[in-house]
Amino acid sequence: MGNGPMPAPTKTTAVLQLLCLIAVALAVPALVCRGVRVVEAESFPTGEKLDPTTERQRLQQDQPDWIFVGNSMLNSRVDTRYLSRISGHKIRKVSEGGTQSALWFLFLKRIICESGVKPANVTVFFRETDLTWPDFRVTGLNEQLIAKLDGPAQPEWQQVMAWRTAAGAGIAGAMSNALKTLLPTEALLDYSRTRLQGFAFELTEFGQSVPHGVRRVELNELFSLSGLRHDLGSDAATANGSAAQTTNNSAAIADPGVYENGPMHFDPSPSASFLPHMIALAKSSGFKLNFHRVKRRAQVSGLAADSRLTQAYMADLRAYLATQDCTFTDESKDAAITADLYADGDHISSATAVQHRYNDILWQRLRPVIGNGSRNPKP
Amino acid sequence: MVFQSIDYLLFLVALLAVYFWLPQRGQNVLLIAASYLFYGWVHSWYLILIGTTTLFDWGCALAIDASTDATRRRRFLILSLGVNFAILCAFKYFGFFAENVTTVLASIGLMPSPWIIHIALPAGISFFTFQSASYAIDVYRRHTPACRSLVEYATFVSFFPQLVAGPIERAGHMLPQYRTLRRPGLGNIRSGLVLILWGLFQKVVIADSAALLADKVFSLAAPSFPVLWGGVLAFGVQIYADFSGYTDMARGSARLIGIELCANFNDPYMAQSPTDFWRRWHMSLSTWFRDYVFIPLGGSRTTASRIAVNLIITFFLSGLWHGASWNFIIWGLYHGVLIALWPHLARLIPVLGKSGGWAGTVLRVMLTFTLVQIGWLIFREHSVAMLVRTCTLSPFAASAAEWRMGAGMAVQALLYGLPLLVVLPLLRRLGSFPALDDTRSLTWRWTLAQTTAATLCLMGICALRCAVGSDFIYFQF
Repeated sequence: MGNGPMPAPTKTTAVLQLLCLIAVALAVPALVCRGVRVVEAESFPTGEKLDPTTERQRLQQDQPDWIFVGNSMLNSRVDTRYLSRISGHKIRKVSEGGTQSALWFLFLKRIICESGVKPANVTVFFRETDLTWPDFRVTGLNEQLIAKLDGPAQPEWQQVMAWRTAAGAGIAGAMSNALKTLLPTEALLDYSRTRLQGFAFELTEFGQSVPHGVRRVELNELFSLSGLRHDLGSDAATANGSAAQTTNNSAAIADPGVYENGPMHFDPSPSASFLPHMIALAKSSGFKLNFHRVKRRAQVSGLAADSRLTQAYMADLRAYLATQDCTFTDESKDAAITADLYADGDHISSATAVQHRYNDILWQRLRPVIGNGSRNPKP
Repeated sequence: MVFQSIDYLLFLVALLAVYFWLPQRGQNVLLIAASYLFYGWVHSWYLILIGTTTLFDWGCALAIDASTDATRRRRFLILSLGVNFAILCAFKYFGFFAENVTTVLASIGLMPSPWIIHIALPAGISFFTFQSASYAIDVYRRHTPACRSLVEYATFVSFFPQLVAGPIERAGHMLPQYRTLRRPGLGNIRSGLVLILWGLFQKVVIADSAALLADKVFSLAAPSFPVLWGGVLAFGVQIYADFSGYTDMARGSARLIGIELCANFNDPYMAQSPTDFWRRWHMSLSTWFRDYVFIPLGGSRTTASRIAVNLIITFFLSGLWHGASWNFIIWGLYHGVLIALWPHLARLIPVLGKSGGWAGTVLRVMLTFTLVQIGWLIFREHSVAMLVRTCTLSPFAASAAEWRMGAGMAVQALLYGLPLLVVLPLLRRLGSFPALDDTRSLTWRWTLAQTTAATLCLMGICALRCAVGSDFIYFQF
């Protein structure tokens, strides 16, 4: 900075300077984003999020007659091997921690239906207003999974989400899309954050050369479900219930966050949520849909009894599902699900004895919906 | 509505498009409407609260100003402060008080009927209550005349950039700005934009990335010593970047509107003593407590023991301001004790004073930084039982892998925080680089510097922003 008064620039110069600032500040990142995308996008690690192709192949190979869809509420609750054994059904999960109804719809359409399998029943595990809260958790890490499943290209997606993300939200959606087009940052983000974490690992090797993969596994084990506190509401469960396989990037582990309710008014219209589209898929594909409401930790101690709004919502949901030939099961009032079954937040403990106890309870609740399976049915 | 959203960007652009065409009074009316829209975006009932506070304090201040009778003036002041703090207590402290009373009664065998009610804490209530209360006190002290215009006063209380998390402004600084027509120059617009980008970088790159690490560590049931302190350091980076980022976005937004807000931070992690830290951290709150609590208690012009008591009372209240929880109270007391003890320690250990040259400075900075991080552990850990347990952790019980993990997290957080913790303070000290928010000059040299800063910020946001966003920490206060 110079000494003494400086000559005031003309207004034209000042405007030019401002425009320069805006143009350069936008152009440089835009060019870098594109450059990285073209040159290196293919080599970037993509994480261990569910892979649609592998999932479809797995289903085709296994030919399950009962499929469970959901997020960590499902993953921490259902031990597929044990439940298969006591129910006589061949059960498989299509799930991912941290996902919500938009992705559950895509799981149904792009994985289950496209795999060609013919399950007798698909059961969706949900909490509270998940089913009619379509724009919950569709950003961040889930955005990549939505892209993998080609979500925005689906006509149902357009119907439900378009007005929220573009046309309906009008200028905000358009601007958001324009920014994403101008600054396609996904590849650059993956690249630079992984590099930064790698650099931090290298700086803290303390003379021992430990591969980054091992460091990540160490972190994943450290933050596994079994090590988390039980007094915090958390959603940080893993896709398959196995802590060590959470993700290959510790910086991408889901953030433990307290779950909140979405819109409390039940709206069955096709533009309001993915629920009617899930039902339509089930009808066209010939399987039954069951929606299973899980019991939250706070409901165990009676601290969070259903509010009048929730009661009204659940009554509406139940009535609607009945008219659509779907079933609704609700464990939220089940006295057998006690506090000692829980791990962190609303998750059920992964201890074998607890898993068996919970799955016994779950089977008693779900048996009227699906009946005994053909393989080793229990009386 | 949060700053780091497209909604806010559109809101700001729409506001500015109309704002510059309006006369002074029209600008204020528009700012009130915009601020109420901003504040009531999620919960419209918040507006009743802020409206009540505004009307009440405006009326009380007029009555205080108009009267020459000392008793009457004092009564109106007490009335104003009483209503302000009653509202604050009802929303912020009632649940905490009731829970503790119930616990105490239960411990002596009395089981009172459940009279605990949980009320949602309206965002920013502590900030606008303190701002409004300071106005009533300033009018009472005749430091500032009462504002005759309800519109100007309502603008002062509700001004959206600083409404939810400060800075806590004073009437003497803000009201004169609302009395003039605002036509910010291109220098203000340019520096406002750079400030907003810099604030956004601090929030979405530094704070949110550090939050991922800190949140995970604080969700562990039994963290080891190095892992815990790795998480504490990450939280230290998070809270600074989070709050400083908010403040810079607030100051940048205000500057686009032609309003200058006060600075809230001055490289706090470069502080050389706990007292110095509080001169640099959340400065608008520190000066509030200094002017309205510490000095009225007798300040530092009294006996050493009385000064210590005054400091501890002030910091106890400061801790309580942050939240209705025992850990905040302990945190406040911890800082009060540190500040009270430091001068005595400095007499015993001269290097804690001003001696020692550059090595002494480095030592003091490192020691203060460490003490502040211990404070952040208390601040972040809401469970007192867990807090006690962490004090018993031994560094010798940790495995090599745990040391690697703890150090890895700490280094990762510091790498994200590097621009805020090291680069910016260094540039400021070198003095060869224009300040990010300088409005003075429109030379090409300044343009180059600000363009570089804006480009680096946006580049950083594109390359390093955290996929998992979180709310601003100070929203909860």
